[in-house]
Amino acid sequence: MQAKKTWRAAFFLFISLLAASSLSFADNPFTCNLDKFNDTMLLCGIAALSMAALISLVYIGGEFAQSARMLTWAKTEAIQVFASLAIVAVVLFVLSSMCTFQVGEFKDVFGVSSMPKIYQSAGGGSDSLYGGAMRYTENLAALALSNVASLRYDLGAYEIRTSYNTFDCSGDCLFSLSSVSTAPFSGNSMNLAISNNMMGIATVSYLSAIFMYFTLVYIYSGLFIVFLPLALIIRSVPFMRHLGGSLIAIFVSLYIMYPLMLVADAYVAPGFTANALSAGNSGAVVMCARDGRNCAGSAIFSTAAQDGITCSPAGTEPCFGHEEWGMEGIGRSQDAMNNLSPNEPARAIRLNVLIFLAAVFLPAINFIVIAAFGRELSRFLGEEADMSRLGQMI
Amino acid sequence: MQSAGFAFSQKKPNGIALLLTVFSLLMLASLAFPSVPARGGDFGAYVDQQQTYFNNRVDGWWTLAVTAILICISFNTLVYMLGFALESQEVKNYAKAEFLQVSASSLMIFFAVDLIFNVSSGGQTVAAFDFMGDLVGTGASSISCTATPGGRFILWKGDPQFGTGPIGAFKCKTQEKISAVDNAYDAVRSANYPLEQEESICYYLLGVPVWCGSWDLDLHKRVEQAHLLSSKMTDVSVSLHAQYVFAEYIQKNMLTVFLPFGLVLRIFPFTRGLGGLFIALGVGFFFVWPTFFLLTDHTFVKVDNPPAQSLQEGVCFSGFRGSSVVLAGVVMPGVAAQASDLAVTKGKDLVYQLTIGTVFYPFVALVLTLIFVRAMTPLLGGDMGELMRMVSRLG
Repeated sequence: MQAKKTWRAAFFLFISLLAASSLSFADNPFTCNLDKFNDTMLLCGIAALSMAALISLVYIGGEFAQSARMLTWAKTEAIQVFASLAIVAVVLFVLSSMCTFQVGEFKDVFGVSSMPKIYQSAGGGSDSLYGGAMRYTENLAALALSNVASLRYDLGAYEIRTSYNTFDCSGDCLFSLSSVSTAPFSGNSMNLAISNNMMGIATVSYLSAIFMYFTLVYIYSGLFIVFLPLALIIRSVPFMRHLGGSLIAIFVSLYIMYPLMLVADAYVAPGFTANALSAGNSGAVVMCARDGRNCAGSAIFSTAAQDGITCSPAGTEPCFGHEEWGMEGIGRSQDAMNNLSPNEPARAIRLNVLIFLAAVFLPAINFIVIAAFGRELSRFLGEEADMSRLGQMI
Repeated sequence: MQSAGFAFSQKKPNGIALLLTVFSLLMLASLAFPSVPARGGDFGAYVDQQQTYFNNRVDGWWTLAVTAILICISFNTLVYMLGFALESQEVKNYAKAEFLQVSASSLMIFFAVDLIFNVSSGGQTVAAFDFMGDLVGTGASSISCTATPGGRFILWKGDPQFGTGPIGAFKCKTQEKISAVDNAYDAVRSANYPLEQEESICYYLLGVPVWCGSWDLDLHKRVEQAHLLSSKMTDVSVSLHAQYVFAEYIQKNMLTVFLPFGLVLRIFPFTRGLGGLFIALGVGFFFVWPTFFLLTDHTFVKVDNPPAQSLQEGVCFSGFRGSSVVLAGVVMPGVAAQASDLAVTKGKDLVYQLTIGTVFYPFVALVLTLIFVRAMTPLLGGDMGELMRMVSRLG
């Protein structure tokens, strides 16, 4: 009976060694052109092989010395080597899938009816998931900036209009020094306050969008090349296993779940404008192009079939009644002041809410998902990581 | 129970066994009464429509779900073999617990449609939609809403602009408030414009101002009141627009994205918490949240029977509607009030009532939904720590 058990254990170790050696010399399935990952994967393989050799030695020693403690340790570590190999294989498989999986296939796999316009116009959905996530965040950041530019114009226009004064000096005022001053556009001060309020929301949205963009850049460039392989190696070392497992969970959840959630957001965002903000007497969602930004990024709310946000170029209705008043000192007359036509406040509110939801609300949901996934995965790998607290620390 | 590093946490087998038993019994109940009683009228059409949406989405996910189940079962088999080879009871227990979890997930997936739409018992359907129907009525239940023709939103008949059902009713009520705020804002702005101009006038004599409009305290007070009102209205308007889009998000995604995605995620051990959370969120926000919103709205009238043909909907209506008429008048769009009057009195009342309607009632429904989600998530093996932290921070 004892011989049978020994044979089974030896057989299992042999299979593990075979798996480890095949991994260390396998072709790298990763296709995202990150050559540095090859070396690190090789290190992982070498670490696993070394560990397997050490376990074998300990097991032989345990059999020789009839030490139950050594035998138990060897068995436990054998399981861990198996687990490490499985983790490396799964991580590699998922990452290579992420690189080859296209955003257009996302539509087919998940049965979504239409593809977002940003993917439709870029090779018909041929972006990889990583490329798709980057395209979405770039567009979102551009839209948030276009919105800030539009509001900046509104604020400027309202400031100028409210501070415009007429000085009525008719008749003999030059001799009597009597006159009357009036601010004909002073009623715009209400809109000025609202635009100020909106500017606060727009700034938060822009900060969030640009934060998402740079986080993605960091994940693509720093996290994958340096930290994830490092975490895999750390997990191969017995005394660092908890730390390694926790790091793998955090990095994998960021590297896999974060881009995946962003692509999901890209598919969800156009639904916000399908019936929502063009309903009733609210009117269509119109964005006015200012500062030469041409409503950049507004396509994230559009599908191939319909536009969620309509862009109104400078100098055309409904942004301007006549011609653009340049705010450069020209047109000091009251007639020219009428051409300094800002957006209607209600339109700015609708647009800002839409961008806020895409730039702040959906990322908050993403964070909940990523944190829950990271916690589960780290628990599975041996150490529970409280990602929420880690996020607070950062 | 953990080994070094690789956590073979032994889940609560009794809880899982209980869950499996419950699902098995439900399945048997469904099989025992295979003929689902037909739901008639608009309510039946609404449920059929939702089932079509759900089936369209889930049909594409079957392959994904079955593949995930097979992968997990294969992995569990390997783990069990490993435990057998190494004579580790701990590993074998883990494999067994995981097998039970995968079985529970499989049952949920295979019978999700029945649980939501078709489960019947004793000749009566007891599926999720029917629970909702029991609470809010399956007939001509309605809610006061001036954004829909006739002034009442008939729950299961719906409106092309807002959709059907409780979420459609929520959107209608929100649009009603949005229109009211927009109109009130326009009225306040119109009232304020000449006042502000008047306030800006200054008379000079010998180059020295002898009288300015802003020196008139009463005038200044009215202008500042208008400023304050417009500021409050902006906050309310932002909140209302956000609620509208949020309702749109729930209407489109909970049953067709969160629920199927949650079912698939629940299969894998390291995404089980997330999957359970998604299922609970999907069910909670699609069924519980709009239902409780309706129940907490005092203009809601529950009717189990379809309306009589002779009654003109929205005009003659059986049931209590006293307060609903009063409140519907308050937020009726296009009220031709005197501008200054609205700025001082009606504007204040409107902002007060809209703030209560915008913040309080949805908040009550949200709290009840979160209680439901909190109770359901652990049962499904989910983790809702992050969600609760986010909610507490928002609060």
